Amino acid sequence: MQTPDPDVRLMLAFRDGDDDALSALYRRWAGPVQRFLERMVRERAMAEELMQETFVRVHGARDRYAGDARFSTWLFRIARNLALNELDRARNRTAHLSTDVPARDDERPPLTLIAGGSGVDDLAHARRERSRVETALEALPERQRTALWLAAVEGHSYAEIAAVLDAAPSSVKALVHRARANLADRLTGTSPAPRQSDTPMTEGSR
Amino acid sequence: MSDSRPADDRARLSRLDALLSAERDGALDPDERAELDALLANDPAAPARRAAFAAADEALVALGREPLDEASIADGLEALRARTGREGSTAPSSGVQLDARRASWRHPVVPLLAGAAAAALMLFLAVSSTETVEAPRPRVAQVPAAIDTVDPLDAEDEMLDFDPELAIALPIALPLALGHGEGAELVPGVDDEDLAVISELDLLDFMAALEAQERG
Repeated sequence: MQTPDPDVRLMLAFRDGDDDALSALYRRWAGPVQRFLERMVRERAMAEELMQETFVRVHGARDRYAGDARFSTWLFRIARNLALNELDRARNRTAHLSTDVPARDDERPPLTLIAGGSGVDDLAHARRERSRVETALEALPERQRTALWLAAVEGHSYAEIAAVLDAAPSSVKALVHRARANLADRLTGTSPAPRQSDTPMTEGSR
Repeated sequence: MSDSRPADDRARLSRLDALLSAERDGALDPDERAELDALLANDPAAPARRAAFAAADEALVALGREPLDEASIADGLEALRARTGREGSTAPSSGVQLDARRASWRHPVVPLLAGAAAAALMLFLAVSSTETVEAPRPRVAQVPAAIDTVDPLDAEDEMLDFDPELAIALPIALPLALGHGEGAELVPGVDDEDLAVISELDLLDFMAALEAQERG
């Protein structure tokens, strides 16, 4: 049967011995997975290590790969589980020694701008905007953040996100809706309103 | 945070949000499409909300689509080949965990605790090598110079409000607990059995005798 997902075809080729196929998958997905992990663990160096680890796991699981689901769904599921494990370990370390909190990327000294000009102004504005979005995103609960990221950035369907989160598709729809509303409220400066819990909607198919 | 808006308003806004979100995800069925169109036509706030949702999505996409530079990808691929070639196909790396643990050991209190643990261990060995516990002297000279940075008595003074047995055992137990057992690497020869023996010592007598001797 011909699979429509080119990534699945590459993964199946890698399973069957084509090492270049893994390189192609890495080139395509290393960036998106790392950006996703940066939102999860909030530290760039750790996100890089977890991204590498994700592909090591892909390599190790190639013989078990069946290609019956979208490749990126499988990939993000591995990445998320690794990130959750790492966050658990970090929480345990913090519980043992509350002052031992790893430095976060956003705690680096702020960029000092020494020259004027529209280019610098644009750069500073872009950095502020990026920081504002990151802060708003970090304020979301992890499942909301992951669900919204996979829907809005990666274009995953509710069913695919449900597979990543181990959740029902109907609950994913509500998660995405609440996350998007919360994020929009934070970005527009509106107080996030208490919302009706899971406004029932007919489960649409994507 | 309280919301003074009437419940009907909140329900209407929540319904609008749900429909707008489903629209962004391409998940509206025909009935929902008609319902959303009616809301957009009749609710003056609905178009602005729709624009806010679109802006939020665009901001996320901008964050997520920043590409990795070619050098990073090349380095990553090389590292991946090296790791998967060396470790075989199934062994997951513990590199992340090890790096994280190394980071925890960089905290300045850890060497101090390790020094206290080693000093307390030497005290214990000194006491256990004699028949009496009435007048022991800490054999500080036996503590390796490199870790002789914390006077165990100072450590005890700061913990007088606690059980004295705990005050002695803690400097050893804490590094072990912090490192999930890796503390033993910093205090060679200390294991759980040692800790159990130390906790059984009559440390009250030991501390009293030590204090008396210090006074002269």
